[in-house]
Amino acid sequence: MFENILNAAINGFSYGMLLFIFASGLSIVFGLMDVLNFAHGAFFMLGAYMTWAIFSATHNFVLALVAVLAFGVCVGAATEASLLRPLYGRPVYQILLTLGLFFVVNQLVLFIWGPLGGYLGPEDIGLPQVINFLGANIYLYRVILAVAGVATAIALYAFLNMTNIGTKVRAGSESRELAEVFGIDIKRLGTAIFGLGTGLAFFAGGLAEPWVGAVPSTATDFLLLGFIVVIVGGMGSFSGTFLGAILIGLVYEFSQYFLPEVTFVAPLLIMVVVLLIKPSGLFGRGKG
Amino acid sequence: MAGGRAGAALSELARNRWLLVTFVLMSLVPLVYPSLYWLTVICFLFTMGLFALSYDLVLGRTGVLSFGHAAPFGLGAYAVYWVIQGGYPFWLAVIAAMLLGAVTNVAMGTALRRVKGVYFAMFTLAFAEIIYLYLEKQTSLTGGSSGVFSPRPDFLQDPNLVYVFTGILAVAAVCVGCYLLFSSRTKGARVRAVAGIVILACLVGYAVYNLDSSVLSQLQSPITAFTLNAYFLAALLMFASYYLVSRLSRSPLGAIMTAIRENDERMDMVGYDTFRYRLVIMAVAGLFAGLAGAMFASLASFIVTPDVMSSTYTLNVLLYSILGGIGTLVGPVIGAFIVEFLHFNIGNIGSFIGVPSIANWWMLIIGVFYVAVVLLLPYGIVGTAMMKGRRTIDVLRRTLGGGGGHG
Repeated sequence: MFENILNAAINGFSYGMLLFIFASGLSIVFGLMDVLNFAHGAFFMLGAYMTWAIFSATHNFVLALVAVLAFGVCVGAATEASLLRPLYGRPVYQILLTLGLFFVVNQLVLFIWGPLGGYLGPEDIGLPQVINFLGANIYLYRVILAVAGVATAIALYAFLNMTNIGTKVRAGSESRELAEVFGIDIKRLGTAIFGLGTGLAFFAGGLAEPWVGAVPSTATDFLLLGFIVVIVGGMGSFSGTFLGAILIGLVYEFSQYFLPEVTFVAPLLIMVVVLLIKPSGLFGRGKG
Repeated sequence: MAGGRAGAALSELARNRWLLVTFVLMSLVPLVYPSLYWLTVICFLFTMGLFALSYDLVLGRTGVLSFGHAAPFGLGAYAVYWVIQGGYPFWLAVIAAMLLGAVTNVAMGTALRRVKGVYFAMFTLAFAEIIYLYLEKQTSLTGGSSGVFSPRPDFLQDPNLVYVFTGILAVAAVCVGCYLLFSSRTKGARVRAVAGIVILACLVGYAVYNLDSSVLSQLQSPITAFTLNAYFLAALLMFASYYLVSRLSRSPLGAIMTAIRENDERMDMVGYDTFRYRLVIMAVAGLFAGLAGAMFASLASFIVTPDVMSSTYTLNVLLYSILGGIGTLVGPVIGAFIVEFLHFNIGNIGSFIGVPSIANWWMLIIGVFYVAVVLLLPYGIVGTAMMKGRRTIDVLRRTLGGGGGHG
């Protein structure tokens, strides 16, 4: 029992951090550009597959992660500049476009790697599967993932609050028009931020590979969970996304350990209830 | 003949002439070319067309983005199964399906008071997904992930019913003929009307001849009778629904809906309770989505799986809508026909153009469809055509100097 609770707590926090890395990309993009990016889940899955492929070729996990992150940033920036730019101010069309990308990326992945996918065990990247902690077996990689998630959160927080670009992003999220009046090139900023958001999706996919693997179904699952996180936490709110991710991660993992029938229903129910009670999210400032 | 009622009937006929003509032509298909495969396919197209039509009420008429439209559709499909399973007659099952669809949509719509825009989209997505995930686990209710066999109403296997439908078809054909005769004022139009009537008469005559000689002998097998009857019933339901929906959108209520779609804040200020109007349209859309679900379960499909409630169907109906043209009513129906026709025949098309493996790329085709339509054809096929048409008419008017009859 103790082992189960401990593992559910560690896994839940770790899953929450994974969700945070993934969902923060959604959240930043929505905050600045009001784009609800449906392709985000597919980018996550593509990141996982590419990490697996690059690792198989080079046997260097960190290198694979960095390469995937860089590739994701480029893909995102190119997508924004070429496809999304003409659609500003038309949210339905943006949703449809990213939905189209979702299908295209999904099919390309199936086409290149097939439906079976690949899985890197922690042993493959030189880690033990489990370690003993206070008499309980815990999964080491998930602890590392949690640490990586916290580090990413700190880095993102610093980026948003201590750099020049971060200040511009926050200004643009507050009011697009006002930011433009003050001379911020909101279009170039949008390209950069969509690149960053997409890069985070790829990065999350890569980090998730030794846990959930590279499987086509993760595209839809993570897309849904990501939306739930940003809506429960509050769209466009950094701290809201962080807390929402931890909440959803814990709910997801605890239900998987103790009530597996509701694993997906519970997060969905939380989102429905939050939308009905406080549409701007539990921790949001109420932009929507 | 200038009596008020006859005049009103005639102008109603005139307004829906294309609907009537299409209905007559579509109903002739099984009599002229009785291929069981194609009839089944087109019956499915009718179903998806009605589903798309109901979605256009929500998205196109009121500008509400719902990602849960599969819920009224799928629940409608299962309602038919449950009611027929319980031993009740088919018509009761259809009514139950429509009511369940309406109730589901109203339940989602009540959230509109607080939740708007993309948040409502997310809300409906979660709502429908919860219903789907819950019912998929209730194996005794839904048959689990492998689904249940379609509940086929017995009376549709009666070969004599074909004659009833043929009678309805004949009445519709006579209406078209009357319209052509009475509405033509100039000599050229009268010649064209007579030509039209002759063509129509030839088609109907050939159909009746065909019914007598070849179709009739096959009718003895229950499958043939069912396919024919299901086809006719589906056509009748879809065209009747289309007529009702287009009438609704021409009504004062329809005008209010359009105004709400264009500027809901102003309508709120003027004193309209926009929430209530949107709820009404959600209910109507739910009725028709439930009807489409009922058609799917009993006429168009061989099995019903819980997938009919999943977001896959919502995404499909969204694709029909943008491809055909959001808010044009006829557009989404045409979009449904195009997409589902391609889906059924992708294998044939693939071998025709020399790439048989294209059938495995269906998701890629859908994705490219989405991207291309959004970027190149943002008003959809019908929307773009209508705008082009209006522009051509404007240009003609300007160059001709404003004269010349009714455009």
